[in-house]
Amino acid sequence: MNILVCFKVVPDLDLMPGGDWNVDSRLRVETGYVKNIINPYDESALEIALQFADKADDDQCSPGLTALTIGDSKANLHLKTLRALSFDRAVRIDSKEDLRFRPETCAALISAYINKIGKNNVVIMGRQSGVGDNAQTPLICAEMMGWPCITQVSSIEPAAGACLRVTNLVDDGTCRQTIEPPCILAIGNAPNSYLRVPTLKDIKAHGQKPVEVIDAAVLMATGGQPALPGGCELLGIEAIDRRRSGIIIEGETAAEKTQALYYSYLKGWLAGI
Amino acid sequence: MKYKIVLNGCSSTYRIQAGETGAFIRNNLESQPGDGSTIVFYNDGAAKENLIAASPTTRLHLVKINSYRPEAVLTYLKELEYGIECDLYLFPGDYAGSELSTRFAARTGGSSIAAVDKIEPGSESLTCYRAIYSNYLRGRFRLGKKPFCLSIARGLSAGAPGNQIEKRQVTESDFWDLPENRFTRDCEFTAADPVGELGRAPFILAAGRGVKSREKTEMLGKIAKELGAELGVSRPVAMSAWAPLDRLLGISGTMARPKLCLAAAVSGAAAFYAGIEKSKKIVAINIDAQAPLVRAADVAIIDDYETVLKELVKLVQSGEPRE
Ligand SMILES: Cc1cc2nc3c(=O)[nH]c(=O)nc-3n(C[C@H](O)[C@H](O)[C@H](O)COP(=O)(O)OP(=O)(O)OC[C@H]3O[C@@H](n4cnc5c(N)ncnc54)[C@H](O)[C@@H]3O)c2cc1C
Ligand SMILES: Nc1ncnc2c1ncn2[C@@H]1O[C@H](COP(=O)(O)O)[C@@H](O)[C@H]1O
Repeated sequence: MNILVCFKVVPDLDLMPGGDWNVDSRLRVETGYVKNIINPYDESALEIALQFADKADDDQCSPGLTALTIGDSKANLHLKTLRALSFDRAVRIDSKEDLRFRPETCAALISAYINKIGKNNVVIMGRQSGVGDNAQTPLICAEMMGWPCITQVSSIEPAAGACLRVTNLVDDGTCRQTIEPPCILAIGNAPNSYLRVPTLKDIKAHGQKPVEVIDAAVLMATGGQPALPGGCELLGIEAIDRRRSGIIIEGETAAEKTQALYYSYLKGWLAGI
Repeated sequence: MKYKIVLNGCSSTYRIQAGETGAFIRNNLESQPGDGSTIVFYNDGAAKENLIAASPTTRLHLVKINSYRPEAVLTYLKELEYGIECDLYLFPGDYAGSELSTRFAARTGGSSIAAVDKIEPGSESLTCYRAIYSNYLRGRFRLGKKPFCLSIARGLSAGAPGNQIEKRQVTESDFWDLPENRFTRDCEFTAADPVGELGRAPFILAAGRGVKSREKTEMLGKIAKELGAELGVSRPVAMSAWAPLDRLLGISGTMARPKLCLAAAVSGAAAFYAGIEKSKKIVAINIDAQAPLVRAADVAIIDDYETVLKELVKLVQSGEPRE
């Protein structure tokens, strides 16, 4: 089995100081001063792939693992960490394009990578990534590859006959199914899938291994399927004002404040329930 | 604008899908229920008369299938719609709807966008609004290529009144016999309540990462019971498995609409807030007066959540009994 995990590096938007959203004339948002993180669903995707490899190792059919991101050099540090975590390949498709709302371009690049270079037969992605919040890349990629796609996946385990045992949420319940690759799996909420941290030994053993960088234009020019035109263009951005009265209860002690909260507000509100 | 609504009649969420898509059309298109039509995929498990009775449009087309599989439904939908001119395909905001919408656009050469909260039709294009930047901002987009395929934002019109339509015109087809793309060797399905306790709760106690442990989260579950509330949690709490996933509030979990929400040790990230913003009243309990939730609450206490909640239980229990 040859597994590709796609991840995106995003600014940690929860660290943006309240209301401080500067949108420029090209509809870009200044987020340069907050730290970058791996998109939360992609973090789960990477950890689930590692857990899968751990289990498959026990069955002596260890899969190949590649981590791939599209973007600029901001991702390099994360790629190095993934290398130390024993991903066999860590690849960055170098692109300086504004891909925030271009899931079709991301999907085309990922498909081109699979077809031309990776020859992967299982692709694991996050269901949605911050900034663009498109929630479309895995689905478009599945269409481009002509592969099935399972969404809202919460766990993946090895199964007999080079198959996968996949658990995923559907609208009215949970499915556990045995799947024959090739397939695309989009990770949803998956408890206990925070990405592990490499040990010193990991870093010594793998940390210095190179990260591969591929130019997006070259990849597309040499055999990529053209992106399905998305036909979705960003026209404007507005901030959402969520303020309510935000009255802060005063008092000396927690008990005093709680009493004030209860008698001035909560008692009445609770009576209305 | 010619539109079609596509619903999954194999799912127990059918009424919710029909309610929210119907409300979306009423709120966004100056159109009569007769202008559009609905395509419903259903199988043996569904009662046809119920599907018809809840349909959001006068005209509906029932398509019988073997079982709901996105790959098969997409093949059938494309076959069904081949050569037919339609400007807009509208899908519900659930998992199935958002998947079909994107994939159907890819197959028909149309344009698609997920989780739309509002549209403004133009003559040749469609303006769509949706949350971006993890729900901190909202984007305005133009879709340029027909058919426009949209899924609507989750929780947008939950609880919308049913579709009041006198008489339906029903047509039917049967795709029962077509072969399916079988990549699944076997599948076990476990049903769950699609709305869930949190979706119905009038009073929610929400716990965030600041509660710090599984034991404390369990303690908050007990406090919730004592207060007569349901426990909800933020993503870090659910991800650490301190509480089950069906307790998650936010864009990735339940979009609740209680009368009252007490949020303890939650910072109020936009992705979380979306899950409680339809609350009539919000109370924040946080040690940090700068936490975003403090401003987005009606009232806030700046103090340790545990001390405050324990005191609150005493007050509530010593007060006059509630009906
Ligand atoms: C695509 C995407 C989807 C997401 N979906 C969701 C979602 O559906 N739901 C969700 O919740 N999040 C979601 N998130 C994550 C979200 O951005 C935040 O990371 C998360 O909501 C933060 O949770 P928290 O408030 O519990 O934790 P933190 O932000 O760590 O906040 C903890 C709070 O506890 C307070 N605190 C600490 N100790 C105490 C004490 N003793 N007493 C009182 N207060 C205390 C702190 O001051 C702090 O404000 C999503 C993120 C992304 C990118
Ligand atoms: N720039 C990118 N590089 C690598 N993977 C990406 C990129 N953008 C999106 N993806 C993948 O597609 C998923 C869904 O993203 P989106 O459609 O943008 O919400 C993400 O969780 C990633 O797995």
